[in-house]
Amino acid sequence: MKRTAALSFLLFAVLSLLLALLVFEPAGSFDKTALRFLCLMPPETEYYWGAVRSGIAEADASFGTYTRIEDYDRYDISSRLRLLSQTDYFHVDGIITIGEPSSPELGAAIASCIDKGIPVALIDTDMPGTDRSFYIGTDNQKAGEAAADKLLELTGGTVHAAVIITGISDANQSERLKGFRRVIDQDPDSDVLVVYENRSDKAALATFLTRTLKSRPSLNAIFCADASTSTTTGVFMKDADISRQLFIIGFDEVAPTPQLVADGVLSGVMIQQGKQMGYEAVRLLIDYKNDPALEPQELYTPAILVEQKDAEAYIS
Amino acid sequence: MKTHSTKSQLTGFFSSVGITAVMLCLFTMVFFLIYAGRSQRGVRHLAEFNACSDSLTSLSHSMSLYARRETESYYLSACESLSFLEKSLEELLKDTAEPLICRELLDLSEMAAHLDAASLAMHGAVDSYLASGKADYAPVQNRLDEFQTIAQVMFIRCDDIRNLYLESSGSGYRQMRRQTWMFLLVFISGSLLILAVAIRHILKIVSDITRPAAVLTEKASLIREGKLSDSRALPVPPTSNEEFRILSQVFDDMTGQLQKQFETMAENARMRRELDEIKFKELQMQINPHFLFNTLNMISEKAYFECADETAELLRCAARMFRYSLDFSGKAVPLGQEIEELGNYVFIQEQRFGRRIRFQFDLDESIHNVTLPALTLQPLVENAIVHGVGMMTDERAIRISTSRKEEKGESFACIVVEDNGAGLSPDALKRIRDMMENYQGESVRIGLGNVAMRLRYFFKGKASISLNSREGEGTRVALLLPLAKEDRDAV
Repeated sequence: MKRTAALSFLLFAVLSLLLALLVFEPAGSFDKTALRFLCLMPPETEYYWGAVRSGIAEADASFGTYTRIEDYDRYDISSRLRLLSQTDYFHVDGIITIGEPSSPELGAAIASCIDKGIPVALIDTDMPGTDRSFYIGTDNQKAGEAAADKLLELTGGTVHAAVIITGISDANQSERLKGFRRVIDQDPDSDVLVVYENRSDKAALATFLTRTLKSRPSLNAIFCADASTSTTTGVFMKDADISRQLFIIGFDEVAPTPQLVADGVLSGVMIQQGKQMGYEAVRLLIDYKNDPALEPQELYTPAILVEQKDAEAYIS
Repeated sequence: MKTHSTKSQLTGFFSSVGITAVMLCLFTMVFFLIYAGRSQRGVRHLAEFNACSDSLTSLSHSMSLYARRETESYYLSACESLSFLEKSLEELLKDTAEPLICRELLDLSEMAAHLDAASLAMHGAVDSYLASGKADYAPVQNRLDEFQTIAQVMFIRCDDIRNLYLESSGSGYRQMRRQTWMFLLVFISGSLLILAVAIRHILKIVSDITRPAAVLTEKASLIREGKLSDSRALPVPPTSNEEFRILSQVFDDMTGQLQKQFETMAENARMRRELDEIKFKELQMQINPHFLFNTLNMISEKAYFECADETAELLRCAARMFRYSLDFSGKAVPLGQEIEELGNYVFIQEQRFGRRIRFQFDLDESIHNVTLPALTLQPLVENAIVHGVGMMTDERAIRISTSRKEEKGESFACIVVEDNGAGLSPDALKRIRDMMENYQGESVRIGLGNVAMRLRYFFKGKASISLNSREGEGTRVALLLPLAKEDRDAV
């Protein structure tokens, strides 16, 4: 009977443990005094914005803050203005959004928030001249310079490049082009043969590439200054029958760019640190909330050049 | 091996299985109660939140009507809805654990406070509008717009929260499904484990009964065939069943006793057979003994009348000796009578050997009541003469002594016949000892063997005879006869 009792007790203990493990539900706790931030950003359709969101989530978990993320259409300023105006009706301790240099309305809305004592962080794109608390994003000029340096190295010091961008009005791409040009222009043997503004037209880009490859026999390097042109160019080059040695540097970690690098179609890709931007934005907002006297500032995160040997790690 | 009765084994088995089954049932019940509670909580939250959303719609509608119709009841209705909304949000905030939903509910509560302020402002604007004789509606419209803007934002946020609830419920549901599968896995594994343990347990119980039962049956068959030794040699497999352990032990003990009885019966039968043979041989030897006895008596009387006294005495002793042999052969006589009758034989031998053999008697008459087979001592003395001192030319002696001896708490009559004659070589001594030990009456010529056998039967193995000898020094035969109680007490 003692054995039976011992076995029963053991069974009871095991079943209780299993039950506890099965039904265990980590209790969430909500701190009403925790800082509440509002983040307005494009939907998570691109890897880059997903990385920013994960950085914000990580910072929330680290610092005990709550950041509400509102999606908006990147090219619809009015939706963003409406979302910002809602901050009149509920408590917000800080705002994270993306700058739009061409929109004075957004600048005014940011100024209004600052006036209400709400610090505003701009990520990815800055709005110089506005009252935002701080900017955190890629140093695009340096990224352009790094791409140019890599192409010089790959070509043995003579670059005859084509630069492909989505739109010259895009401040970030414009900065990258500026940095790229600066390096190439310093080399007397190298030049930028053509800057092509694609405007997200894939068919047009294919036509441009076909024509340029034929008409410019000296072309030995291409710099794609954004995610969209990088993937389109990479996919085109993969299928194209090219006899000459051509080095292509893309931008942003958007599929299938890392795979194209791994396959050797692209020589490399500049990858922005979206997660770091999101994390740092939250961390700095806490500082600005706690100390409103902090001066506005700009913080730059590096863009890393990923080459064939490291590309596997970025293929998801 | 630790043993258990069948009852305790079965009780243990059924109680183990019963307790396990009850625990599994409890485990299942608790699991499903917890899950039912969780499901109900999720559904309740969503229902409460839908009620909040409905009250927001009602509130917005009432306020629009109030702005248009300036009727106080619409305002009161709006206030009631607003109050309900605020209370519901507060309750939900208290009862919700998901941090993101809490954050949204908190925002909504704050917006409800703004809505409350906007409704008050609206009421003020309507009052002013009515007081001014409905002169300027614009302030009312502005307040209404502000109210509706907040309400609109709240609607959007409500949708977000509803989505969060659904998402949370969805993930909760997925988690529940995962946990339910886990539970089923644990439940089925546990049940299979218990089933396996139960089957093993029951097989052991059955094996503990059937295996020894089969062996006991085989043992019984062997006993029926008379193979008791084989039956005992057949081992019963070790079992933890107490009843069968005892049963097999008792079975073996009973078989052992039966075997012993059979052996005793066989021994008795053999002894009877041997005694019959001895009696037959004795009868064979007693051919016309009375004729011889009468003849000797007649010769003795003739010798006496012819004044040959010595011859007459010799014949008289011989006649007495024959009579003793004839009358008491196969019977028990007291030691005293045996020694007295031995005197006739000794007298004859003294006359025969003269001074060459001297007979010495050293007797303890207190033990002379002990009975022994007649003609036990005569063969011993005869052996001493024939094989010991008879061949010697110089003077030798034969010593006959009786004494009491204590050995291992028992009293014995010790009778010794010893001589200082030729003695026995070691080989001869060994051969004679073997013959004494294994003598079964096959040759009456072996006097010592005959004596030893008769003593063995008479005293049922309690008497002993020992023979010691050294070549050239002499031989000693000692008999140890157990004393009856009255002989022991007689001093």
